[in-house]
This record gives sequence, C-alpha cells and structure tokens, in this order.
Amino acid sequence: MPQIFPKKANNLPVVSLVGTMFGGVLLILLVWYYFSPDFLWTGYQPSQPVEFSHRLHAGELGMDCQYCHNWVEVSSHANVPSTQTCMNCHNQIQTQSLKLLPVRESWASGRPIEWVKVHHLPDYAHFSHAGHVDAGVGCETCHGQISEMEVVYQAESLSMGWCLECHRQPELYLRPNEEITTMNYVQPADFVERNLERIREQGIQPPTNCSACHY
Amino acid sequence: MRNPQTDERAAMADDYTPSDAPDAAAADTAAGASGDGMIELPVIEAGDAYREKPKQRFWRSVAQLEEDPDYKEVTKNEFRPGAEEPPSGANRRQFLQLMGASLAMGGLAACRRPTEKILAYARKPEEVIEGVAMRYATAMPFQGHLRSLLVRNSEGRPTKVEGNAEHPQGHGATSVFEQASILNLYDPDRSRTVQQDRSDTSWRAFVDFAREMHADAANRSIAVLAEPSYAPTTAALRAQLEAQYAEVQWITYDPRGEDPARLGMQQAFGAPYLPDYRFDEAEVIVSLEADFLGATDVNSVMNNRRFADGRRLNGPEDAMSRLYVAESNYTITGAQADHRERMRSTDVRAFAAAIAAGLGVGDVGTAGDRFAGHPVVEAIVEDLEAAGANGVLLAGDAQPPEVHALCAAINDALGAIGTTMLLYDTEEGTQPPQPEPAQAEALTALVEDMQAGAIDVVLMLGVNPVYDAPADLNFAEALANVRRTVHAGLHVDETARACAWHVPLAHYLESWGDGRSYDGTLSVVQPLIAPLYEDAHSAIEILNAFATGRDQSGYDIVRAQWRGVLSENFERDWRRVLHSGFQPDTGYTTVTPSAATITLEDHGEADGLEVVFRLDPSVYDGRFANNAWMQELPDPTTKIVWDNVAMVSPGTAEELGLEVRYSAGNYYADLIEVSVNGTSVELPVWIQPGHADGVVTVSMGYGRDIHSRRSARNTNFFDTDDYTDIYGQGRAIGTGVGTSVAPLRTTEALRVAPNASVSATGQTYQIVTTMEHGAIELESRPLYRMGTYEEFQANPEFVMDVEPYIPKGEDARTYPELWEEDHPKDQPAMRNNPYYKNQWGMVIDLNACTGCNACVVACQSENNIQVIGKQEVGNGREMHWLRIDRYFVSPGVEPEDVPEDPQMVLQPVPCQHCENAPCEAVCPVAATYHSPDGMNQMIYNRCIGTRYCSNNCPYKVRKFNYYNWSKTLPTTTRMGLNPDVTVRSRGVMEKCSYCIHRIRGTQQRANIEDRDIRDGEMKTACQQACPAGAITFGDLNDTDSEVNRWKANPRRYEMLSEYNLKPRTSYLGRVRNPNPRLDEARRTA
Repeated sequence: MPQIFPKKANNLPVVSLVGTMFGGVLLILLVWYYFSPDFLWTGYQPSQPVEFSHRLHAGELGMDCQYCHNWVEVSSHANVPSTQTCMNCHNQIQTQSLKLLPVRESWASGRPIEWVKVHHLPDYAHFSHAGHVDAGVGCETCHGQISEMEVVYQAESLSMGWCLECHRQPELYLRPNEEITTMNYVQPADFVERNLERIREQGIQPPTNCSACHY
Repeated sequence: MRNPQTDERAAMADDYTPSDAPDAAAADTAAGASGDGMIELPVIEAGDAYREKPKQRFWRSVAQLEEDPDYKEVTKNEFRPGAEEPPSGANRRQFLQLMGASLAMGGLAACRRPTEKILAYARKPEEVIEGVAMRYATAMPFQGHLRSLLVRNSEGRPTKVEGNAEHPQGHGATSVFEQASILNLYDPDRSRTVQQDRSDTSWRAFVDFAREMHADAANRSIAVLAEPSYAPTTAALRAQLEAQYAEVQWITYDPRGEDPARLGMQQAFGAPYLPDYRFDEAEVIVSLEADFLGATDVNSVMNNRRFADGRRLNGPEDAMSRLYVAESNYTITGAQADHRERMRSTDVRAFAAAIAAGLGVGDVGTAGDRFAGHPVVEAIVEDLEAAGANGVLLAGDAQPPEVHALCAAINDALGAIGTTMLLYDTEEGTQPPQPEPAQAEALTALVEDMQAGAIDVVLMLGVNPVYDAPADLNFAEALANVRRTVHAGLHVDETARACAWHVPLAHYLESWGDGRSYDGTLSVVQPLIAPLYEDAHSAIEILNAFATGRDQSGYDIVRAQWRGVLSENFERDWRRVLHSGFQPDTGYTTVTPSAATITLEDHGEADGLEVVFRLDPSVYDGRFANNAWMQELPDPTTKIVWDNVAMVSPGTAEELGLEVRYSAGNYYADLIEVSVNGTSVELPVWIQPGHADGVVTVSMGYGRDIHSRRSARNTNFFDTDDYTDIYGQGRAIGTGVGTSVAPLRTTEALRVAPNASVSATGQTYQIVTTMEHGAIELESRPLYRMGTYEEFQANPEFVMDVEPYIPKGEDARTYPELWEEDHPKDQPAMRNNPYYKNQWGMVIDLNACTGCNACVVACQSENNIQVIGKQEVGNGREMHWLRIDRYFVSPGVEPEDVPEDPQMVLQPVPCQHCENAPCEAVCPVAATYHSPDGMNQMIYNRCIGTRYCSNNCPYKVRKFNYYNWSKTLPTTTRMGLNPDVTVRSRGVMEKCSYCIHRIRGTQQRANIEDRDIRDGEMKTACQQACPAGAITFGDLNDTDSEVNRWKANPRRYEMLSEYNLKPRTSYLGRVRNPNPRLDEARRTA
C-alpha cells in the first residue's frame, strides 16, 4: 500500500504538541505583559483641550508644581488648578494668544475647562496625595519628568505591584520634603541611610495591607 | 469577671467521660481509637451547650411561634425562596445562547480605557479644597421647629446630614427624617419649572403675576396655607402681607390637624405654652398614647436622648426610670415600656381620668370609673406620689386637648412643672399677638369663602391639602372656584394638578431661611447648594413677591430680618450665626404657671371599631413617599416595606374573620374595606400582636399620585437592568404605593374615627416584611438578653447566666487575644503595621436603643447603599448593612406561654467584625480579610461573588449585589452619593465596614499631624446619628476610651459567643424596671 505520509511526518505529533505548549506559554506571556498596566497605561498621553506645556511652565519658567497644584499637601487630590490660577498671569501675558482662547472663554463664561485625566486609579483604590507628600515622596517619583513633557503622559504604570515596590522599601524612594517638587533630583550618595533614619524617627510605615487602600 | 468557661470546665471535668455521650457509636469510635493517638473530642448535643434553659422565648412572627412548616422550611435555608431565581423574561438557556453569541464581539470592546475628565473650577471659591469635604451648619424644619444640622458638602453637593453637636438641643444626633431628607433634595421626580395651567412657563411670569396682585393689594383678598413655622422671617412677611392686602387669611396647615398638646396647655394654663419633657430627670414616666420616642414626635431626638440618659446603667448602683405606657398601636415607645397597657384610643381618656382621680387632681367625675381599681392605675398613682416632682405624664397626638390639659394639671400637682416638664412661652415677641382660630375652623371658613368666590388668590406653600385635607371639606372642589390658585411644592402632586400656578419649591438644603428649634434658639437655614432647578424658590421668596411685589432672594430677605436680631456689628455676628448654626441665648423663656382645674366628661365606653390615623414613621405625612430609602425602610414595629396596612389585633382579626396567610416565605394579607361614615378605602390587613382590640390603625402618607417626567426603562430580555431599576418604572417612586386613607378623615375625626366598619373583600395582597429576614435564633439562642432591674441589682452579670458553654473554649470577653498562634494578626507584617496600634470595637446599649431606624438610614446615606424594590426585598435581598431585628417575648418557652400582650424588643445587628471571622476562612479569593486594626474588611475588587462568606456568616449580615442597582440611578440621585465610599457593582458582596473610610481619613490626618487619634474624633455613621446615643465606637487599645468603659459594663455580652467568633461588637443587655408590686398581677416577660 502506498505511503501517503513521508517518514518525517512521524515528527508531527511531537512538534505540534511542543509547538502548542510553547505557543501557549508565549501567548500567556504576551497577554500578561501587553494587558498589564505596565504596557497599557504607561505612556498614555491623551490630547488636552488646551495645549498647556509643562515643559514651558515648569521647566523653562521654573514654576513650582505647588503653585498650581496647591492642595497636594492637604487633600487626597493634587488639584488641577482653576482657570483663575491661569488668569493670574495670563490676564497680562499672551492675552491675545489663540492657544489660550479656551482659557479666556472659560474665565469669561464660568464654565470649566474639560481636562482629560491622565493618571487614573480605579475608584476602588483610594489614594491620598497628602499622606505621600508628607512622608517625602517626590512628584517626579510617580509622575516622571513633568518639566520635560510638552504634553503630559503617564510615566509610570501606577499598578498595585508598582505601588508595593515602594511601600515595601520606602527608603529607596523618599527624599527630603524641600526637594519634593524638584525635577531631575539626584539623590545624595548616602540617601538610603538618611531615609532609614527618617523612617525610624518619623515612624514612616507605608501600609501593605489591603484595607489601607481598598475599602 | 467570671469566666463561665473555666467554671463549667472545672465542674464537668470529673464527671464527663466519652461513654456518657448520647451518640454511642461515635463514642465507641473515639474510645476505640484513643490508643492510636487520635484526639478525643467530647460530643456536644445542641442542648448541652446552654447552661440554663432559657427563661424566655423570643419570636419574630406568629408563623414562627406556631412552627408553621413553611416557616421552618424557609428559615432553614441560607437564602429565601426566590433569591436564586433569575428575573422572569429570560430562562437560562436563552441567556446562555445569547451570551455565547455575543462573547466574540464583547471581548474586545473594553480594550480602550474610557476617558475621564477633570473639571476644575473656573473661579474657585476661596475656602474650597478639592477632595476635602466641608461642613456647613444649617437646619431642617420639622413640624414648625428647626432641627439643627451640620451637613457635609463634597465638592459643592451635600452628601450627608449630621446633627449639629454644638447646638444645645441635639448632641449631634438626628432622627430618621433628617437623614432621609437629603434624598428628597435629589429626588429625580422633583418639579423643575414653574407651570401655569399645566404648561411650563418661567419664574419671571410668576413674579409678574405676583406683582400684579400686589399692585392691587388693597382690593384683594388672599389666603395662605403654610406649614407651621416659628420663623421670624415668615412672621415678618405675614405682617407685611396683612398690611398690604385687604383681607388675609393665614392658615397654619398641619396635615394631622391642630396640635392637641398646645390646645391642652391653653386649657390648663391659659396660654398655648410649648411642653418639653426632661425624661432624664424623671423617675416615673406615664405615657398616654404618646409615642415620644418615635420619629414622628415633634421633639423625638431630644426625647430619645433624655430617655436613654435616664436609663443608662453602668452598674447596679445606678438608678433608672420607669415607663408606663397606655396605647392602642404597638409603638417603639411601647416597646420600651416597663408596663404597657393596650386599650382603645378612646379609652385612654378614661385611664387618664382614673389616674387623676387617684391623685385627686381635676374634676373628672365618673370619667375614670372604668379603670377604678385597675392594678396598673393604682401602681401608677403610687409611683407618681412617691416620685413627686420627678414624675411626669404626657399624652399623645391622638388624644383630645382635654386629656393633655389633664396631664398638665397632674404634672402641676406633682410639682413637675419646671423639673420634668418645662413650658416654653413662645408668644413673647412673636407676631401676631392676637389668638388665631383653630386650624379646623379656619379651613372650614376658607372653604366656604372659596365656594362663595370671595377669595382672590390662594397660596399653598409646601402643603398638599387636596391630598390630606379633611374629606368632608371637599377642598378640591372649593379650590376649583378660585381663579388664582398657587401651589408651591417639591413635586407636581395632587394639589399642583388642581392649581392654576405651580412653583417648584426649593428644598431646605438649597434655600435661605430661619426659624427656631424646639427650645426657641434662633437659627439660620443656609443652603448647601444653589437650587438644582433655576425656577425653584423658597416659600419666603414667594411670599415676598406677593407682599412687596419684588423678586428678592431669600438671602436678602433673611439678612434684612436679622438686622433686627443681631447687634450693631452685623457682619461679624451674621458670620458667627452661620458658622455655629444658631444664635446663643435666644431660647424661649421657661414659665412655671399653675394649672386650672380640668373637667373631664365621661364619654362612656365606645363599642364597635375605631380607626386611628397615625403619621407614618417612614413616609411621615407623604412628603417622604417619593423617597426610595424611606419606602424601603422597614417600619419599626411591623417591618413592612413599600406598603401601608390596616393593623388590627389578633383578637379583632379572629372576630372579623381576617387572615394573613404565610406561604413560601411571603405574607398574603386579606384585602379589607375600612369604612367610616359611608366612605371606604381598601387596605391589606395586618395582624400585630399587642395591638389593642377594636382598633384599626392606619398610616397616612401613602397612595400618592406624583407626576414624573421620566419614562419607563425597557431593555432587551437578557438585560436585567429594567427589572431591577426602581427608578425606571415609568412613574414616580411613591405613585401608587400603598393606599391613601385621607378619604376617611373628616374635621370631626382627624385622628380617631369612631364607628368604623371593616369587611373583607375576598382578595389578598402580598405584603413584604423583613421581620423574618436574618432569623438566626434557632433553638433559643440567647441573642437578646434582658432582665429586670431587681435581677440586675442582685446579679449584675445576669447576661452571663444564659451564656452558652463551649468545652475548651476560651474566655470570649478578653481582647485582643486569638486562639491560634499563626493567626494573621500575630504575623510580624501585621504587628509592625502602623494600623495595629488601633483596635476598633463597638458597643450597642440595648437599654438605650429604641429601634427608631435613624442608624439604618444614616448608614444607607453614608455608604451608598442601594434600594432594590419590593419584590427583591421579598426575596430577602435588602441591602441595608444594619438591620434591626424585632422579637416578641413570651415569659416561658411552652406554646401556652404566648401572651396577648407580648413585650417587643428591638436589636440592631450590623456586621459583628468577628476576630475569628468565619467569612474570612471560606473566601476563595481572600476578598474579605482581617485588617491589622482588628476589623473584617471587604475588598470589593477581589470579590468574585461565590457568596460563600455570606453562607458562613452566622449573623447573616452580609449583603450581595445580585443586580447592578447602582448603574441605573438617575443623575440627580448620583449627586448624593458619598465620594469616599466605593460604589459597588453587581456580583460583589458588601457589609458594614465600621465606616472604614472615616477611619482611614482620620488616620491619615493624624499621621500628617504626627499625633494619635483622639477618642471620639471619628464616629461611625450609625453612632453619630443615633438620637439615644446607644452606639459607641472607638479604639480598644486606648484605655481611656469610651468604648472601653462600655465594654467594662457588667451587662456586656456578645451574640453567638458560643461559636468562639469573638465579635468586636458587644451588646449591653436590656434591663427593664417593672414595678415589683405589679409583677405577679400583670404578665411580664
């Protein structure tokens, strides 16, 4: 009887089995990564109604983060500034600029500018800026080099695992409170010891139990 | 402190051997295997676990008592019948087919993250901090008096009502109506535009009309029906109106009718003083059908607080008051009574007369002869004579003024005026000084004038006379004869439809106003949000338009009025008043007059049925009928939701052949026709143990007809949203719920209608009640422990007498120990946790709790708990995190021991936060876990909805989101959600969290400020709302905390302690103070 299949077809079951296993593992790994916050959320850069440039304001002009986001030490939100804050300067500066037209319209009409939220945590995770700023977490630790962003993008994944990295080892990430808003901050050589000292003194204990944030 | 476990263990160790075990087979196995090193465990029969056979029997319903096989079947199971049924319209097959088909397309839809917007202010108010809630002092008008409040404002929206702790009246507590009022603000069925002849117009058009009237005021006659009010601004506007218009008829319209208490005071003292009772000073309190603890009472918050203060027992050396109650319906005041006599409402008069005769007060003649020699009357007389100035009598709303006058006279004879009974002189300095005609006369005169066409304009401000005016007046008909009728109300309701003009009324949370609290302290009502609808205006703004022809804002009107109240430094004082919520030292003067001799006529004994109309403890007079929280709130004594019923006693029901059938977990009540003088309404009957014979009690406020602009939601058959959406039924929430009893009320019989008749219609109606939900008291578990004051004095730890015994169990009363060394709380990760230094616990004092439901609604408001509708409550799925269990008590456990007048007790049951929580052990995904600060917490995002935790919870306090009730909320209702609390979606379990969002917020603040949390700095919502101060919460690690003081109380016990759960919530057992001489004569529990 004629042999339909060549001899090397005997390899087929093994190959397909191995291939499926590898393929499965590869698929799992791909889904794991590409569906994770590290991939999905990092780099999110939505376009905003007003072409506000942090690179200009925070970078070139050197405005402090807390000039606009002024309640960060007090509230759970680091507030997006009201139009009034913009108009503090822009009622005199660039008063005819087309880029600032939505701002002037908002100021005149009293209707808010509809900013698109970039750093969004799910509603079941309660996060408070005040506690973090008080403990010595710098703005750029979580938000990246804002002073170099023309349009703000999400620099870190802000996933729970990412949060826990710091919560488990805060001494690697803290900085003195005077340097909270400093961009491109370079930690001194002995920063870990200093942080450990501070942690000991102030009793800084970032919680890692579930109900600290999920309630 | 005794440890029952070690005592018993020592006693039993010698005489207990395995061979004594009833189950010989098990014993043999155990005995036989002992040589192999197996653990020998003693076999426990359920009966062995209880050291003493319980002396009392607690039962929830007659079905349970009669051991109805249906009842046993239903309560044996975790879920009620119907709980696991999908909604009709889709069977599983269709559902799965469709789901399978759409799976392919559904998978990719959610890949893109939805865009969230941040809307910053354009011009931010200076004091607002985004993310930090603000609190403003304001006040809610209730029956004419203000209840001072501190309302939380989250980013411009009021989200939670709390009491104003700084106000002399209130202690920061609120009743159930204040808590629910916030949902009235966000009612999606509120009217939004001014309407003229049922078509939309504008506020400008209305002002033009008012101006037109004002221009010709000298020739116009105007009638105003307004809610009762002691507000100076309203009085000033009334004076202005009277100065301008040719004729002004101002009628203070109260749906119940004239206040008999004030008329009684008029009779007794010659002036309508306002009575206030100091129950904390009283040793003996006699209530003649006065439901002074119920939420519908005019001063219920202070009454609850004072009454509870008079009965707090920290030890056997403390004294407590004694309460006698005579009433027809079973109220929560009756549940607190040490002696309760049930009688007809018309008989209470004779009872009062008998007491007066015994004390030698008043001229009662033969009026009290029916009760002469009655043991309770004699006991009351004796107690009152002994108490003297520390005794007090009061009568209730349904009693005629002469009974109130008699009570005042008795109080005067006792010397109680000025000690336990305070009288406020409200007339001093208020306008107008001349006496006014009684409401009934004024209304009758008005109707006549309207019929004659003698009235030019009728203004109805916040009242609904077409719905609840006495039926014999034919108010609607008379109104049709007036050309210019104006109705101002929150909804387009029955009256609005009959009027030419309808103006949407601004809710108190969005309007300026003023008034006085019950003791006279002046307050300003300040808004927390601009009126939600542009056309909405307050009553004073509308009045002002007619009085002055100008369109002024309430702000200006109130400020103008207050220039006369405050000092020269007006701005500073004004800011102070707004800040603290009241103007100090403006209370009424207290007077101590002498009472006249009151004559009481003998009306003889009534026969036949009488109908008593009561304000409903949930919907009040109908203004909360469209409030979903209140409709779903179980009635305090019947636990009925979403309906009103005609309550009768078991005796009357038997006599009339009426039944309420119990079938598969649901009640089907006979629909009866209640007729008074030829008019009849159909109501479902309800049989209430302890209700008086010959009386039918009905609730006002139901059967509303409110217009709604919203249409019904209709979705595909597999989309369950329309089934569960109570807001999407195509009608207003309150429309058609229950039956209105207003047709039965006439001017002669506003509160009690004699000569009524009842006939069965032959139909039945399903009534949903939560009285059996969470029935966990199988085999007489000692869940509610109570004793008498004598027992307490002899044995302060009487609650431990019924404490079950667990062999090898540990002392349940020591905290925070655990039974295993590797319990998570002992792990270094937990111990090193900053939260570990706070260990939270709660104590609920059953002597103070009256079951008023304020905590239930406060919890619902604070935690975004959803309303699910009547059918779903029938399936046992109500979402209240805190339920109040009601038990009736029989003195013995045999069936014959069931009395006709059972004692009623009420017990709040929230999540007990067990240290050895059974729910934590069974969650497959660790969605519920033990926090380092000792609470059992839910992590909603981990929950996959197995419901195993609820299965394992012995208290049945866990609630599951069977449907997506929060998704279908209307926009305005969403505004009232608390932003600090996660809103739960379908498929997620939820339960009381000890208000962890408040705890975490407080901990954060304390952390930032580098300090410890102070005791009392944070309160749970239920603790804060409780008018009686029955709940306390705090840190068990703080040795000075109040919760630790309460935990040291000898009355303390835990529910179901025999399961070694070590709950963090403890209860303080109830102590009743029955008269020792009466105990033998009267049945007591």
